[in-house]
Amino acid sequence: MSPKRHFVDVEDVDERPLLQVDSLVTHFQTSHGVVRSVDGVSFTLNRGQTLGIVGESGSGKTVLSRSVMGLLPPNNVIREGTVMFAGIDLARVSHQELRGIWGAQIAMVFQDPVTALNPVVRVGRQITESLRFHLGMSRSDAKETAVALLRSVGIPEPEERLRWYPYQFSGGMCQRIVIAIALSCGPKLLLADEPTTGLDVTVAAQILDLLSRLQQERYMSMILVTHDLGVVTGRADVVAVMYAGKIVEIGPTETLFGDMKMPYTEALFKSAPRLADASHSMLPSIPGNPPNPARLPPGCRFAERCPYAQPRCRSEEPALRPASAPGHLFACWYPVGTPEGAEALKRNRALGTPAAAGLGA
Amino acid sequence: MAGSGTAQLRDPAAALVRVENLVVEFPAGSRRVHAVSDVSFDVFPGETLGIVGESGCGKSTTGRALLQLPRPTSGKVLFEGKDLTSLSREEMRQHRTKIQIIFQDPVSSLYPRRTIAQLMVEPLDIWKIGTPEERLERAKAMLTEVSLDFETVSWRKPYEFSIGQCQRISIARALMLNPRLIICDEPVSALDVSVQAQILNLLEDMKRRYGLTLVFISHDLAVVKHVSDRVAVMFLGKLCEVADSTSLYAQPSHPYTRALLMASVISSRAVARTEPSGPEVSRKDLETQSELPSSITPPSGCRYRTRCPRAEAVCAAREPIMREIRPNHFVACHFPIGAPPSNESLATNTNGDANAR
Repeated sequence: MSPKRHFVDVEDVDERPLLQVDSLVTHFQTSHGVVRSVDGVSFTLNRGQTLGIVGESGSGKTVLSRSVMGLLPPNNVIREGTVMFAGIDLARVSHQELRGIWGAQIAMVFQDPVTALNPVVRVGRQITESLRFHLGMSRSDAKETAVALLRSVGIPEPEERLRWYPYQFSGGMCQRIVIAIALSCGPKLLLADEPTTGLDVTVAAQILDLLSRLQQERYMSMILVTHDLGVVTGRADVVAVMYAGKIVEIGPTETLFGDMKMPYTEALFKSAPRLADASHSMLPSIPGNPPNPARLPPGCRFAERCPYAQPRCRSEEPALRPASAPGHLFACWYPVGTPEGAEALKRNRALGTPAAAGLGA
Repeated sequence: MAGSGTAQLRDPAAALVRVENLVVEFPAGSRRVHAVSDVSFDVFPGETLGIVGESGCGKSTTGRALLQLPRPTSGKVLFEGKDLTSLSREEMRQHRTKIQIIFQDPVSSLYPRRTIAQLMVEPLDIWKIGTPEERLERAKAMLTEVSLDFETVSWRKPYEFSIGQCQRISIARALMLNPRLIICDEPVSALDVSVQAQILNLLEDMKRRYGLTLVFISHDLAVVKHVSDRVAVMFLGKLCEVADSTSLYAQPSHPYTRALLMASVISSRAVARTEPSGPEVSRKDLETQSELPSSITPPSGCRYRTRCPRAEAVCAAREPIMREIRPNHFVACHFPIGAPPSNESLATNTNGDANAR
């Protein structure tokens, strides 16, 4: 993703990372106990870069992106750690200050575009609202900008469409409008939470291409949250894999896919159907379900479902440690592709552990 | 593409399901929505037919029309040689036990206020099969089949389960009456990749064990390839291409099939997982994809022509008819990829008259 360097706005060049998240914790107090949705997550994101966050439902990826943005319920939330965004700690600033940042500096694209839009307000007003609020534009300037925005996200006849209501658009078109709204004030950071889940493949491909193009043109940073490894390949500079509230592996995209160390990443990767596979071949699935975030097991949180798991994994929690390539970190005692890992897998296969049998050769 | 014709139909005596010239239309004010227009296909016992297409192409309507939900506007649905469209309400009710359906959203397809045990035995209650104890026994056996423990599951209600577990319950429930045919309408589209793999494996396993025949409806080509013996590609109420799955994926011949393959390579799910083996798949094919044309006023001739990079005058004038371009590989296109153009297109080219008959 180097071509985007050409779009650097000279004034904007800043050596410091745009976003620096350090030991972020988001716990919820519920009647079932403390739900540890995000449990000590750290990463940095540079200007113009894309970070892909991948994980299953319930892994905490959505809570993480909402925690970064400060979009959390006011009560029963335990927050720790820092979220440094362009020199401000978002975890400490007031709601009032956040209102000036949301939409203007950080924008979000949600999973379900149809419910993200207000159904009884014409899309034109939904786009111009933030232009007038944040940038203080006049009505006519805002309208002009909105037309240009709709055109840039590929909506035909934008002048006409400004007067339409969300229900008059298809899901893909609604997502384009949500993207137009998110980009209206030229945010430095875009959070896209499952932007293509629920859309058709052809439409999903268009939306992802659109996001990549706009991000490069605007030299924007992006966090792309998804459950699908396929979405982040070729689009993210760095990929973080989340499991049960923690990052279990993080690294530059090529390194991560070329040399995955964490058994969970491997299992996730293998369980996706491929066009190259023959019909009726068994998919290597991950047995069981993710652990209940209110009752997390001791040790490695993936141990229960892991084909490599050893006694040590069930008692001692592995910390993130560096792999051979720079920027590549993983949390595992018996990593994939190492002699220890191979031995652990062999031992489990000999014992007939269901998880080991499920992974296939 | 998007053409009519019945060349793809095989021996009627061997087919479990044979759909001939199926048409489903819905009223829309004074006009009509042409949801399914003249679609024909057949499924052999033990076979899985995959139906692929975008939202709005009529694939779910086709699946439901098999069950007469609602009754098709015209055309025949032969199941075990009997035309379901001619049956009375009661006769159809009797037949529905042999055809079951699994929906996309398993949580909303299970009645929220009943326990899993109640939901499971309901089909047997309706048909008064066995004693209440035997019904529970059967429910227990079926839940065990889908790797759920009856004791821990039976007294709970659907909201207590994850989507993947609800889909397992739906599958177990569909099997309660020993059906011959199961229609799977996007059964994994709402699931995470890892859970999706579990459910796909489970369906394959159940199919093998119970000798089921499946109609598998999905928008995801990689998923369809995994489960199908034969694949039918739909666009705006018409079939574009029907072929054995190996042949279809190796040599996609309809421009739309090719565009769909390209899309799944660049977008979600199928990605990062090698380019399709088919020839000349390019990003260009995808860029030509715009919104679906209206199914109230579908384009004349080939319904795909407004998006098709290969479209010529003949495509607007004449609807392409299904023809066999390779053994067991049928395509409805005037200018298929990697195969000679249709006779109609040749005729119009030499005469220079697109309307010549």
